[in-house]
Amino acid sequence: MNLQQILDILNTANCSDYIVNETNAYNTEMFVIDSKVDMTRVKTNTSYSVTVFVDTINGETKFRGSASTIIAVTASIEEAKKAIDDCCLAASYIKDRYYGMPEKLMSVNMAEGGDDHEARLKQVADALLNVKCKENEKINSFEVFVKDTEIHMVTSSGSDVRYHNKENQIEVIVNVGNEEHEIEIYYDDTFTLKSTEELTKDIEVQLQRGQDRMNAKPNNVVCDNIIISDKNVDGFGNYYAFKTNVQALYMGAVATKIGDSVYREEVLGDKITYKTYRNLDGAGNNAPCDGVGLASKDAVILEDGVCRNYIGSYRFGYYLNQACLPTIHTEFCGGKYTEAELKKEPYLECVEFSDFQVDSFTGNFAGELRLGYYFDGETITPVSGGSISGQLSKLEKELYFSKETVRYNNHVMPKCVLIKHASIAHVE
Amino acid sequence: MKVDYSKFLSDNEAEIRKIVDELSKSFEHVTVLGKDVRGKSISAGRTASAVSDYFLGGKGFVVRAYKDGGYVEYSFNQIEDNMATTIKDAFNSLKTLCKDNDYEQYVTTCAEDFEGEEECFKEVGRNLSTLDLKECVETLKSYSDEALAMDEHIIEARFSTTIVEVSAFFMSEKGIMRQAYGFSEGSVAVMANKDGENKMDHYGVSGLKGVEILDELHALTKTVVDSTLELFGTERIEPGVYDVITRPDVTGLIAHEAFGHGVEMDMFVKNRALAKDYIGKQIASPIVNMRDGAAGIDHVSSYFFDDEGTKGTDTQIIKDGILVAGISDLTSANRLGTVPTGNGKRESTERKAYTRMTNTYFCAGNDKYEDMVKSIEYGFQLEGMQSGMEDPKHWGIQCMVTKGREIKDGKFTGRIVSPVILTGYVPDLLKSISMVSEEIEVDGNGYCGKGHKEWVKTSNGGPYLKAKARLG
Repeated sequence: MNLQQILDILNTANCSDYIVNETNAYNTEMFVIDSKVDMTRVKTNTSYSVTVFVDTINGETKFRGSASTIIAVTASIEEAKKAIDDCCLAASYIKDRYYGMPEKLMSVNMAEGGDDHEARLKQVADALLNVKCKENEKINSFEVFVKDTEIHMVTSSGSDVRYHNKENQIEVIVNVGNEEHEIEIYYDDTFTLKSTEELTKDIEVQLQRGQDRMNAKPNNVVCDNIIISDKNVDGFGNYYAFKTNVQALYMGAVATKIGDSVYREEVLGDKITYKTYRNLDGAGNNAPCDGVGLASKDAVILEDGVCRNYIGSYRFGYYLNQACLPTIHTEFCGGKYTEAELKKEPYLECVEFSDFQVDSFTGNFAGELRLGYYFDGETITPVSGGSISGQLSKLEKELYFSKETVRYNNHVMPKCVLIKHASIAHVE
Repeated sequence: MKVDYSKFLSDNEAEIRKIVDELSKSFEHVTVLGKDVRGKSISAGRTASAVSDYFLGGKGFVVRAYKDGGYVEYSFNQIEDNMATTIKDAFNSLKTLCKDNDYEQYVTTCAEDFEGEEECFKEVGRNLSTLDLKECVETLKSYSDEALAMDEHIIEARFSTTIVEVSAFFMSEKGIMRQAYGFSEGSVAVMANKDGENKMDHYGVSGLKGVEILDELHALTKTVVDSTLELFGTERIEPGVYDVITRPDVTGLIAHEAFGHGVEMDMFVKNRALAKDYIGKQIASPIVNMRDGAAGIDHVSSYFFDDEGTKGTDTQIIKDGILVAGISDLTSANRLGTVPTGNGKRESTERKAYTRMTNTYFCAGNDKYEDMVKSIEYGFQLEGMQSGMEDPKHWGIQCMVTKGREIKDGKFTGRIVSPVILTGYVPDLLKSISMVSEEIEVDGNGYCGKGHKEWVKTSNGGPYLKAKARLG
């Protein structure tokens, strides 16, 4: 089976529109325990995902239904035809409000390489194997995934898009111990290129956190200033971005109009600015569009809390007669104050959670604290245990974003966020 | 009705046999897992409906080969000319990379081969071939419309179902096992908005079932609508330690996060689990018993053999409060000198196998639920599993729960707190269990990750438990 054969079937199938994605994935993987190679793996995989759209008319009302299927590369022409026919039939049973397809998009964004897996694997593995650990530290284990994925998307509206995602993914476990107990810190990251020095530095930060957690006091902190840092900051940006999402708007979960503020009342802290980009240099995901061919663009979504553009799927934008944009490459912009300025007053900075979650739909956020740093105005004490929770709509009045931003693969965000009056569950 | 075995696997079995035979000339031990996971997901709601393939579906193979004390794997989904040579070249290239760079091998003993041919083809009420998509889409849409009409504040009621059939073979040099089984799940998610405030709740059904699961969804409609609407006006809990009664879905979340992950024995190999040092020791109240296994109860993670060719078992993890055993994949068991328990699972043939849970649950006790409620002077009944996160190294626990229903002097007051985060030290929580109800309920609607990846199907559950827990 190949892409042209699938397109030939789709061009005569009983559907109004279609999208095909040919995905060729090639991975090389290494799993290491205690500095010894546990296993190496290679993965090759080719697949075709097909989505069909079928229009039906009842009286004067036009409906549209969609269905999708995966066609195996090993499928025969007859098997592929049956799968597509079944898909068209399934789509015809769905009577959703009619929507169209995005404008034609022609784009080629192929990264170089794909034949450098062993060099990339060696660079990352060497960096992780050669981190200089103190006597009570060690790299417990790590996993390295060197990934190349080529995607070719063709749609019935004439879009023809090719791009190449080149990513390295790591999961690293570090330990710090003494005679009584041992601490574990979990770290994962996805990136296209990081120097050995950068990788080493990242792991050294985790080792230091292990040292700090080993000496951490039980969390009995009473403090109004909670600082959330690292990737967990992203959840706050997503909460506000959700308020500009056309699907949420269509559903009735939000009511933001262009030019509206996303804040219900006067805000003392930073008002969010959120942007999308067509691409970011060195991003792992190079998709120039979303899954239906809606092109990414450089745009301001939220400017000081005011909605300037919508994000989300083309379909719901069509329903609302509003343009919208995908969020493949984004920036949740920094605020007025530097990290140092945010840390002038006593604070509890939470750097490690079991799993910090911000629910964009409800605004609830929570996480069990694995490592925090409490600054009482004079000294900084590592603390652990208990949980942090709150409701963003009730706490957003005093939410501050650091001026400094950091980049995590496709997303830029403030280095930390200061939130006042969140709830702290203590360790008894 | 029998679950159909995959034609794709049958058609390719002979070719895979040739690859095994060829690779066996160069490696000490060679096995291949072939898997074909087929499924349909159908969802309907006010804003959108859709039909798609099961998100963890797909077909492919993974070759595992052993030589010089170590394993290598090659995952693929099409058999090309000279496939054995391609695989051998890839393996040799990786071996050379390790050798040239002086990467030390984690030496592992070779798994024992098996001989002969075994099969297990399970039955469901109605298999995938009987799925009438038109009926299914229209039925789910009618359920959604009915739920939406129940209250003006409901903005979406999404009804969805997924019906899955798994076929697999596991081939070694001298033997082959084949299996086919099915499972299905359905869920109802209701979203509501009142004065700009959003609330959402969801319920699910699941089991070793087929298309008939659709019949169970309708009965959930009013329950989910009521459960969502009562979230309006709820308060946040005052953080502290409380007496709690956990509903079976929350009991299951605790079983899974608190202890299930903690006894995955690949974590023992890496010295990442405290449980390793507690085998034979009291870690829970004497009325606590816990099990995991693909061959125990029949639920969504019940199978004949796992993704490494080990037959499913039924493992008692906690017996009368004492940690008696962990669960393991094949390689970990070989390294630890234990017997594999059939818990080696992969997200798909594209991924590595790890020790994973199957159907994990606390066993039933002797207490009546009504007596448990009456025994609470002040506390909360915890309801609604949202998510959890394991911490086997430190035995921490994080469970996100939808609501806590206040109990005062043995009676529900009508006050609800939401959401609730349960945290604490696992042995403290398990040792605080003072009452266990008589019947268990198991739910298989969720997916389990290892760290933040490797999603597999699991079920969890148990009875109502009375315990002391830190809530925030």
